Order: sequence, then structure tokens, then C-alpha cells
Amino acid sequence: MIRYIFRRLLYLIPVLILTSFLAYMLVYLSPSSPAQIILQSRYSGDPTQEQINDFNQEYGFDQPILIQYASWLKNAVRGDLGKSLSDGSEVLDDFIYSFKASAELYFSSQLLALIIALPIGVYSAFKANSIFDRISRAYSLVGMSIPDFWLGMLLVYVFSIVLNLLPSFGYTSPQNIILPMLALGLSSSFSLIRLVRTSVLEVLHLNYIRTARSKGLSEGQIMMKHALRNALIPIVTVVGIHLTHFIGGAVAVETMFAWPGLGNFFAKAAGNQDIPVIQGFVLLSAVFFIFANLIIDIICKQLDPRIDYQNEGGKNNG
Amino acid sequence: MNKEKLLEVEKLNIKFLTSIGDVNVSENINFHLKRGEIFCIVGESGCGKSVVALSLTRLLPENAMINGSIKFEGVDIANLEDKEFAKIRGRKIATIFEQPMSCINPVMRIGNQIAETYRANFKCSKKEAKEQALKKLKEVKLPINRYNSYPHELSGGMQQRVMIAIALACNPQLLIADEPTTSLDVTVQYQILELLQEIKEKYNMAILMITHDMAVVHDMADTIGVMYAGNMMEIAARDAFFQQPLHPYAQELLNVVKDPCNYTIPGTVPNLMESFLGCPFEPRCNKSTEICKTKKPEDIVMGKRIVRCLNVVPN
Repeated sequence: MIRYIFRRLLYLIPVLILTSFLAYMLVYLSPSSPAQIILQSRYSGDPTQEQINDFNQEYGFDQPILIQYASWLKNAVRGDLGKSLSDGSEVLDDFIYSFKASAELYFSSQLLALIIALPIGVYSAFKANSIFDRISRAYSLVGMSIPDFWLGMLLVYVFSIVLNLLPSFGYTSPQNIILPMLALGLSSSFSLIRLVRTSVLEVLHLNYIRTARSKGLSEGQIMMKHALRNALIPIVTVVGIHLTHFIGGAVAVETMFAWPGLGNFFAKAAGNQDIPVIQGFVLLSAVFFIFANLIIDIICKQLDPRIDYQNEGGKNNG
Repeated sequence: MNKEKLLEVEKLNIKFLTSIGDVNVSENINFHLKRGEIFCIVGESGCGKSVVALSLTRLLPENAMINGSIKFEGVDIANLEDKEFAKIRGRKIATIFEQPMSCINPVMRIGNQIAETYRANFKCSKKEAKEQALKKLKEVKLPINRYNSYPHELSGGMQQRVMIAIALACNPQLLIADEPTTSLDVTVQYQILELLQEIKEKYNMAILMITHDMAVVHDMADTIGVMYAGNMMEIAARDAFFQQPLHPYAQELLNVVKDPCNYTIPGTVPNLMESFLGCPFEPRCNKSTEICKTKKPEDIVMGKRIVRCLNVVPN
């Protein structure tokens, strides 16, 4: 297991080199130059060619691109991702700040989604085709058709405007998290209910459930001890993938509630052509992705002993 | 040895209700088992053997309609409340299935799966249940250090031993074995059958075995029941059966065993969705007469033997 984790961490190196390189190239594919955009907002007007040249020299944009890339990479390895072009703050600090905000929002909303979806989905599968099941299926179908930002607006309308209970946006008091968390959590719970229901239902038709029944276990014991544990494997994978989506997946909701999360920040940086910020964010997001996936794999291994990481190449049942 | 009747099945009818029509998988089946007896049900695939076996412990899907009487230790268990029935299932009647790999929980340690059975049926501490599970592992000849293994770490034969250990956890009176050796290779098959024999002797347990393998039947059975298209065509003691099968279908089955390379029974097993006016075996039968097409055969009892054929003359 430890060897496996070590090997997975080694994969980081080529993946990071590739992603950082691609991030670099993508930025240079865009038609306008960063100098143009930054200076335009700095001097509120078209910059002169001299100003552009000075800017390019200051930030090293006049060098050949590979040289720029190499020197950036050298600094990045030491933990220095450069400064933002628009406000001069450290990219790493910005990332940590907005990562924290994103993580708070996303983990709490996914937790909420799980708390809602697990019992409903399991009970739906347990009483398949009952009235409860039909209602929960209809409920999740309707819910899945509602975009999360629209749900957010609805929540703002009810809780902030009509009832005047909760703040509608901001990141200053603990109450601020409630509405965006509800918006994101509820909208992921709808699809999660369906996923939980399907995977539990699938497991309930397997032979070892029949065995459990023949052993004299009660239906409740069968569900908790045999069905749920097996059904959790696909659920964990999907929830894990959802979690890693928080980098860009919540832009609409973050923007709506003025939540200073990654999505919000990244969108702003892209709009400003703030190249060091974009590059730093892409790189750090890749690091996060790899770690998150590693953790999901480790959890799946704990849930399913058949997964064999020593023998790679899908030979799980050797 | 106590030879009282342990299980008595009378007029068992099983129907599956499906959206495209009813499927009759058991028509008026009668048979009984004594303590310490091995009763083998044989027949081709798709003739309802497994369904009959699973119906005894209510393991069929919900669309199965079961009618008839199933007496276990003198009590009709067919009409028991689920709560009462739970006291019998797993504790007094246990089941083992074919394809053990798919029948044991892949993510649970095998020892826990055995202990769990014991705990579900007897109120006891975890420690006691573990002791019982270890005892059962020894009984099925698995090394006790396998307690913490997962199913995928075991071979097919070992998995079937685990299955047997799970079934034996509560020392049941009746073991239903639904094709227990079908997915195993021949040598392992022999070991598993030997193990079943041994356990049967030890606990004076009755075994209801479902199989399509005549060699297994010959090795194991005290009594044989031949099933065809939901009908129990013949029930006979082993020796009498192999010396002189009475039902034409039973005779054909034995002909196939004698010359498996060249001989087959002409035709195929009928679709159970069709209803038969006469004998369901009539289209494939080489002794059929006109009456077979229009009249359903009924059980003819000849001492310990029962035959369901219109052309057998009772002696």
C-alpha cells in the first residue's frame, strides 16, 4: 500500500510538467497580450508601445517562451508562483485563500447532499416501486432539472428577501455559508438519490443477498451489513469525482453569493489575462486533483478488498 | 436412527406471474424427506428443480405464487407468518447454492460471514459466534487462519466449503443444496460431495440436493426424484431406480448417461409458458400413445415408488 502511494506520488512529476506546459501554451494562444489588458486597466486608456515594452521586460514576457517557462518552473519548485499582474499579491496566498473558501463550501454541501441522499436513496431501493419510491424518483427528477444557481436565487428570495433570515451574499459571518451550501448541496443531492437508489437496487439482486436471506438475517441486517457496503463503492467514486469538480464546477453559485472560492477567482483571472495566476492555479489544481484521486482510491480499497493495487492493469480478481 | 418424516411436500404448485403471461414451474409436486436421507432431484436445465428447492425457504422473487403444503417437523411452514418463518430459515433449514463466488459477500471476511449466521439465529456474544465459526471452519476442513480471508482470496472449492460452513453454522436439520458442485472441477467436486456425506452422517441431517449430474446422483442419493417441465415424473430409491427406471423420461436420461457421446433425447425442454393438455413429455417420448396427448398423467404409487405416467401399469 505504501509502495503504491509512493508510486502514485511519483506520477505527479510528469503530470505536473505536462499540465504546467499546456497551461503556458494555452495562455499564449489567446490573441490579446496580457500587457495590453493589464495596462489598459492600470492607465484607464490605451497604453503606449513604450509602456507595453517596459511591462513586458519587467515581467520577462520579452524572453522566448521556453525560457520563460523554464524560469517559472524553477521558481515554482521552490514554492514561488509569482505575483498577480493585476494587484501584485502572491499567487500561492491567493490560491490558499480561495481554496479554503471553496473547500468549506464544497465539503459542507457534499456532506449535506450525502446526508439527504443516502437515507432517501436506500429507502427508495428497499421499497422499490412503493409510493415513497415513486415520490422520491419524481422529486429527484424535478430537482435534477433545476440549475444550481436558479435554486440559489430561489433560496435567496425565500430566506433573505421574504423571511429576512439569512444574508444573501458575502464571506464575513458563519451564516453566509448556509444559502450557497443549500444551493449546491440540494442540487447534488438530487442526482445522488438516483445513484444511491440504483446502486443499492443493483446489489439487492445479487446472489449473496439471497444467501444472506437464506442465513436467516432480517431485511434490515441485509441492507446495513451486506447491501450498503457493496453499494457504497460506486457512490464513493462519484462523490469523490464531484468533490474534485469544486475547482470550476461552482462558478455560478460562487459568483452569485460573492463567495471568494476558486471558481470565482479563476474566472476573474482568466478575464484579466492574469497569466501568473492562471498558471499557478492550473498547476495547483492539478496537484489537488491527483491527491484527491489518490485519497478516493485509498477509500475504495478500504471498502473493497478485491481491489489490488500491487497488480496494476485491472487484474483485480487474480 | 430416527427415520420420521422431516419434510413433506404436498401438491406444491408454483407459478411465476410475468407481464407476458404465467409460467408454471411446479405442478402438483409431492415428495418427502426423512432425517438422515439424501433426496436428489434430477432433470434437464429449465425444468423447475431449483425453483422447487428455493420455494421451500421463500427465496423466490416476489412474482412467484406458491400453493400447496410444505410440512417441516409436522408443521405447515407454507403459511407461516414471515416472523415465525424467520426462526426456521437459516437455523433449521439452510441452503447452499451453485457458483459460490457470487453467493458470498465479496467485501466481508469469510469468518465473519459464518459467525454472523450463528448470531442472527442465536442470541450470543460476538466471541461465542466466533468460536462457533472457527469450529465450523475446521468441520469443513478449511485452515482456521482463513478466518480473516476475503472470498476472492480462496479457490472455488474453498469458497464452496465456506458456503457449507455458513449453512452449517446453526446445525440445521435440513440442508438444501442447489447444484453445489456444478461450477467446480471434478476432483474438487468429489471432495465437496464427500464432505457433505460426512456432515450428514455426523448430524443425521437430511439433504435435498438439486443436480443434473447422474454420477453425483449415483454417489449421493438415497432417493431420487426425476423432474421434467414442472412435474415430478418418478420418485424411487436409488438402487431400484438405476436397475429399472419406470418413467420413459428417466429411462432416456439413463440412456444418455450410458452413451453420452452418441445418444441424446430428441427434442428440447418445452417452454413452461405453454400449458399442456396432456403429458408434457409426450412430444419427446418414444412410448407415447394417443391418450398421452389429451390426458394429464397422475401419480401412480407403487409401494415406495411413485411414477407419473399414463403408460405405466401399476403392479
